[in-house]
Amino acid sequence: MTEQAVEALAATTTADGHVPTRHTLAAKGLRLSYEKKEIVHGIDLELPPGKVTMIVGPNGCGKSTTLRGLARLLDPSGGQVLLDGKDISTIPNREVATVLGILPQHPVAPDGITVTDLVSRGRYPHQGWFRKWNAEDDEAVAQALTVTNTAELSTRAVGSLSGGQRQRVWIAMALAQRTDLLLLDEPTTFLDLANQVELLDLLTDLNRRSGTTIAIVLHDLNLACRYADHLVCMKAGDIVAEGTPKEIVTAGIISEVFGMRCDVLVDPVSDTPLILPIGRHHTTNSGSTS
Amino acid sequence: MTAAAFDVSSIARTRARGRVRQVSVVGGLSLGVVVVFALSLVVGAAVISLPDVLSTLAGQGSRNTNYVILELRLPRALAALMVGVAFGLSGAVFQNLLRNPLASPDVIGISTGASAAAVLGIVGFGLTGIAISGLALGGALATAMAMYAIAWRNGVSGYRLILVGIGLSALLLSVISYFMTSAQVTNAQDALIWISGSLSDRNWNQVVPLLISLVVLVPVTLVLGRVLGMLGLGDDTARGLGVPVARVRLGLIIAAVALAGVATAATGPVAFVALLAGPIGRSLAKDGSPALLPSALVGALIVLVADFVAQHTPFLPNLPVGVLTGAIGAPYLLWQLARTNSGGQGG
Repeated sequence: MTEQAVEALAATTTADGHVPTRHTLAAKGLRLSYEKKEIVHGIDLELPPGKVTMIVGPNGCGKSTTLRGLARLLDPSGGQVLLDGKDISTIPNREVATVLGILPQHPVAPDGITVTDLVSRGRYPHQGWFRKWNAEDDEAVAQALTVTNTAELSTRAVGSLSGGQRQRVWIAMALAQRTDLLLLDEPTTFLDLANQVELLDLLTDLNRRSGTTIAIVLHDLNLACRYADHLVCMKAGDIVAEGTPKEIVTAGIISEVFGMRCDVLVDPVSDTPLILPIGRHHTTNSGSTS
Repeated sequence: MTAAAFDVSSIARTRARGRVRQVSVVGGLSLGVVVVFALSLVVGAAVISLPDVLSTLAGQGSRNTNYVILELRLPRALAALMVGVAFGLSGAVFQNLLRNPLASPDVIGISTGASAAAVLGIVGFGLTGIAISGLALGGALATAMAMYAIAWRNGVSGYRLILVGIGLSALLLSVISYFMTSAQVTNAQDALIWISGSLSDRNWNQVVPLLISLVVLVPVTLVLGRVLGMLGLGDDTARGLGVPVARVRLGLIIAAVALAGVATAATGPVAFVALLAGPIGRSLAKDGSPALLPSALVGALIVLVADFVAQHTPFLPNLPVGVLTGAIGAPYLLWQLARTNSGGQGG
């Protein structure tokens, strides 16, 4: 992230002279089902306002489903999702979209669409049938392009970009939406390690500079431990543990959640838990050291 | 990483460039439509000069020009224009909604359903006029619902819907053929209208109901179409951005089915106009948008040009317009099928 980009981000909070109000998002007894099969069995979850929450768990544990439920993309089969304490299903869809942004796992870019066009779509919830595109929209798009380092791609077709560039463009679209809450479903999938770290840095910048509450479903446990303020471990549709990574990540809990033996060390880079999986092969000693 | 701080005005410039392109595409196509429309009023068995055509339209024609222009050429040209717009729009909406260039109402049986209902009305119950329009509309809606019900399996995938539609289309075509034979329709021209579409002998009886329907349907479709571009981002993204996805989709499907239905009622299912207009419109617009207005104009242009050529082809008098559009559209359909399959989506 460049100097200008950081300044541009900082400008969101200071330019209009107020700190954004912290909106809250929570699940109460939330049950989610596809067809008749229940995937998430009545969870309670509060996203700590102004923090980065990471949701981790094995494949099929319901973490993506939970995120879709929180983003009202999936109607609950029981319980509620509360936005600012109000049942989200009672709030008009477009109104929700001015407060809550979601980047789904597999977003689709229409053929031939340019980066600027795609990022501009993020302004949709702020437009009405009668409110025309205005200078604030231009400014939001320009800022989103700047902070995601996609400005130089602005006239390119989205289809012609690399995976890392494309993902930054989608993040830019979500940023152009200017919401206080931002949910992302596995945003680092298909990215190489350098791009993964860069993306998580970008989101952390956003969180620190604008106070955006962020929730991310992430596959990579170690990156989740490093970047999360609040970690949620899910297994088979229930929350098994939540708290700061340092508090909750132990070899025991990881073994329980993932069904995998492991060691947990302290990450020398970030002073956060570092999980070392132990498989059946390539181990120098037979047992766990912890 | 060398990112420049981004100039806000360049966003405005990019948007302005896009608008200029949109306006020039729509302007150019409109001009083409106007020219061919005028040509089809001027040229015929006897050429009537443009000033004479205009004065006739203004109500100051001779008895001869009044008859030729107002009773023969104008209704036919208007029918061509409006049917083109209706099929073009309908095709573009379906192709965008189902994200598949094959998903146009003439390929997936919507137009055939309208045809079958119209034939049933004419041959079976001896109906005429607005009743036929209503029946064709009902036939299109019923076909769409049947298709949806058959293709439904925990949601509807675009490809299954298209395959079911092609099957239904074949079934309905055989229904049409049955009515034709059992009713002893001796005039092959009449029969052909309901199989491939024709503009010959179209008069105000077909044009007026079509005009009334389009005055309602076209604005509704274009307004809903502004949101259609958002659906192109995928359901989850669109919903996340505040688009009422289910409602918009239902509204657009009904509008597109109705457009295909009323157009079919007027002239029969003019082959492949709906299939061709969308891709051409989108490739002219070139901005990743659904390009509904360009597609509608392309549809009008295709039908007007095809009918002009069909009317004035030497040695082949009364060539139905649908035969001509079919001759252009069928190779495109084959090419599209082959291309889709080589892309591995044909399963």
